[in-house]
Amino acid sequence: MWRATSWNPPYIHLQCGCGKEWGLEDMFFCFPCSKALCPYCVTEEIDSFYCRNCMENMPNTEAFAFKNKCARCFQCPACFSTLQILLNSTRQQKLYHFGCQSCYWDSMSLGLFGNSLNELLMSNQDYFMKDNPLQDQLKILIDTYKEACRNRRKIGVKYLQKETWTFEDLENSVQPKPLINPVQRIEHQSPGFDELLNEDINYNEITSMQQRLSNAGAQPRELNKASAQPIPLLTRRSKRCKYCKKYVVKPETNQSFSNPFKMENLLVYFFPRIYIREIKSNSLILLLINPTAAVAYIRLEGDKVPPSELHLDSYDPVMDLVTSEGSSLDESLIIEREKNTISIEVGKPSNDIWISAFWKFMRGQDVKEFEIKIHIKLA
Amino acid sequence: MSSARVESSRLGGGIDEEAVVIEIGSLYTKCGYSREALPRSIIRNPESLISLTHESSKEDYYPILRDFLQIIYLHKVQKSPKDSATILCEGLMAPRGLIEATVKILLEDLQVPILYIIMSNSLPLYTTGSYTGLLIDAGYFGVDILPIYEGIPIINSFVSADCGGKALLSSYKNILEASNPGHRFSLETVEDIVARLSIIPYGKLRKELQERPTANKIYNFIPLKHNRAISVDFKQRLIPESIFFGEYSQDSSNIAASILRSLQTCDIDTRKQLINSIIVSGGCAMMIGFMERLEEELLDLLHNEPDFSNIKPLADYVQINQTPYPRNLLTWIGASIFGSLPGLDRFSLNLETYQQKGLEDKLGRYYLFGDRPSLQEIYQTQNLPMERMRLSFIRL
Amino acid sequence: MEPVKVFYNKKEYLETHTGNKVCRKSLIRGSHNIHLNGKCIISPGVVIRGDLAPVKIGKYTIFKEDVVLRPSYKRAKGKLKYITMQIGEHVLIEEGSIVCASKIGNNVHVGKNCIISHRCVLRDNCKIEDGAILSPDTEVPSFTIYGGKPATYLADMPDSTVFMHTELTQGYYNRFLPLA
Repeated sequence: MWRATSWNPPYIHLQCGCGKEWGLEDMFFCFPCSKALCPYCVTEEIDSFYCRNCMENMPNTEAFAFKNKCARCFQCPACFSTLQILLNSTRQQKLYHFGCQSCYWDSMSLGLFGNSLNELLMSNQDYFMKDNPLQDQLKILIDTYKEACRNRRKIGVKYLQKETWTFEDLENSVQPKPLINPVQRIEHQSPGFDELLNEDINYNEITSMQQRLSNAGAQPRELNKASAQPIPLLTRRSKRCKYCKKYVVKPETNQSFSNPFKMENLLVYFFPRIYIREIKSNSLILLLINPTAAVAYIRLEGDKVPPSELHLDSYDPVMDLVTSEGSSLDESLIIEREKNTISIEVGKPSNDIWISAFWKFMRGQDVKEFEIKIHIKLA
Repeated sequence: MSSARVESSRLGGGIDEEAVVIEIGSLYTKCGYSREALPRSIIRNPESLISLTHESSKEDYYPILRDFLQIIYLHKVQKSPKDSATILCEGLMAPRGLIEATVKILLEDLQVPILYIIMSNSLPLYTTGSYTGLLIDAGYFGVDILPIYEGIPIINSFVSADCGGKALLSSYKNILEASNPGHRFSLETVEDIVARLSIIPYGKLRKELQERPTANKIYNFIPLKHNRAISVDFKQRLIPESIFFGEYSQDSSNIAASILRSLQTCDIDTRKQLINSIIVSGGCAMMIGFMERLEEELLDLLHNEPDFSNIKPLADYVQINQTPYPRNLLTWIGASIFGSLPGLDRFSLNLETYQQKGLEDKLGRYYLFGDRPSLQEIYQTQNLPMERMRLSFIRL
Repeated sequence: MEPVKVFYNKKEYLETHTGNKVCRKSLIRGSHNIHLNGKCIISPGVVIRGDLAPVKIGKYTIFKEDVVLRPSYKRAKGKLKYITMQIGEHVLIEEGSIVCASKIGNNVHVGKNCIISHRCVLRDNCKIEDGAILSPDTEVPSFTIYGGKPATYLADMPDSTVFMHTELTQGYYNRFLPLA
């Protein structure tokens, strides 16, 4: 999970309502609740699936039928990069087979080749049906236990309270019972000492744990027995507010649209970004940048911060004239004001500073207001 | 109560729909759907999770598991946690903080509707189709031996030996660092070397090694996640033998001896059926030569050691169960079968019950660390008729 | 911390009327084939092979030192045919990378010392980690992070990095000022 928040001091984090601290880049904003949300306060759901190679969108049911893997794209068993379909044309015949561009693995040795593209894909399907014996065996086991559950309920207590036990019954009860579908025991011949000494082992030809576990059924020990696996699909996820269950972020399913989101309520669009401009011995100079398209008001309260209400312009001076409600009440904190940024000076009691901010901004016709705590850590 | 039962049968985890099955092991986490033969994905636990121990509390586990469980649901199993029931496997010897943090995250943060918590030690038995077996789980944390007879786990004979993957990897690391001065190996590198090179001698090889103990062969290679070549001696390939099958006369750790000691504490009339159905699961069982050596060792100890002379006649019935499934996934596959059987309701937990009562101790520390009462006393304290108790244990 | 201003020697850089800042020490071949849409920064040591095929670069792209841009080719009837290379807006390519991709989308961040092979397609809003080697014909989907040798999917990008990345490139351009 890759998060944009950095935990190397000096950093500036915001505290969410649930008590955890996050950077501004990771947080969201819910409009109906008028609340800033951290990634743990949004629930994520899966909207659709897509293949990372062919970018084909798959709906839920189709993805489940293919075990959340692409039907047409395969990955190399050695390096997990995408396999290309290569043509090996000799004088006798043209052979299509899979090949990896980065580690030069190819599927000829496994027998995965065909005279045409369709034949190649068909030959691979057969290869992957190898899971079916395991699935059939599982079905038999499930049916056995379901049957036994039903029988035990019927017979149940009567079996325990058997009135008369004969010696044969006792003998029978301690005999081992035959298993259903017993698997043939394969006798492995132990390698001899000399054989083991003279064996030339190429470390890279033996599979690593990750290469083995990507093929859970066979778990091959040698790399030349490992087969090409289909690529697992990736997901497009939407996020909802935990409290009011409305959408916060909703992605676009169609890749060709220029905006990748149908709905995108990130906190960076509504709350000012705060940077540290300079660290002096007794005070800090902070830079606040207003991202909204209208004048916004901030009121800061903290340990060595006198409560004051400041206003920030937006980047468009016309919008400022239209939307401003008047300038700040207190200009003493402000050192510099430039376009949509202001620099303010706050006192520095220690290396760990907590400031409460009340932020009021406009989006369209609505005025939204919320409170959030800012945590500045310098060392 | 009745409405909760209707909801649970509708939301799956038993009869109709697929439930998500998650088994958080000590080194690897297996996740997938019930009623499928193999897990969808097997991922290595993050390093911060592997390094936590039994003493770590719920608060230590919480931050690591929060992100990890979200990755499992949204990237590996690819199902929203709110959409279907989840089956969680809890090991008998698993740290308490782990299960508490997992349940809290699943119910409160990820909003799973119904959670079924089942004990994972008896799950491999489901892959055989019978109700009796001597279950051996050789994993990273250690080796757990649990005999189950006619569906009832014989908890008094439960043995947990410390000689598992953890002891093996740490001793391997020390030996490799001593023979390759200047190198520092991470756990993943050592695991990789063990998985590729180690071999446990059995049969002909074992006899020949006893006659000629030294050999001069060195392998040079660059292991995984390491930037320089190292050299491994032929003798170092055989290190697992001393961890799992050490000399019994010298009182070193020997899995076969632990199995036989556990068997000696079982009732006499159950022993024949138990030793006839030995089920071995876990990652350490995948090593070359482990199964064959285990069988040899059992027969050797039964025939030759005076400590086991009272169970010597059982040597004719020793049989290790063969399965078509890979042994390190047997627990997960058992959970998948279990998830498709009816009657899961008694293991369910939803948010309201959890907030009122917390996480109950089903078998818990009382059985393992305090005085273990006999099964009779358990039935009396739980106030249940014997038949009901027996059916409930069938799922454990 | 607030991002700092970066100063350059005015004599070393050519500035066009559309705002492109091209260093004289960069090696640009076939400049008639190279189209810069405005506000680009090309640092010293950058090699752009416009003599092989046209190269179209969107605005606010930043190429740091020693980047190599070489259009990719296709084999057609035994001959090599070089195809147009298209780079989108707000692309940041860091030091030492060799880029032979056929198409790069908007808001892409390529790390240091990467090798992006022929005919790769990088979609919008993706990130390539430092030191990654992408094998030929790889397609990198949006909002993903690729890395490693060979590069595979590592993680998904958080949604806000689009905005932060745009601000990064625009801010870098605005702070790239000549020494007076």
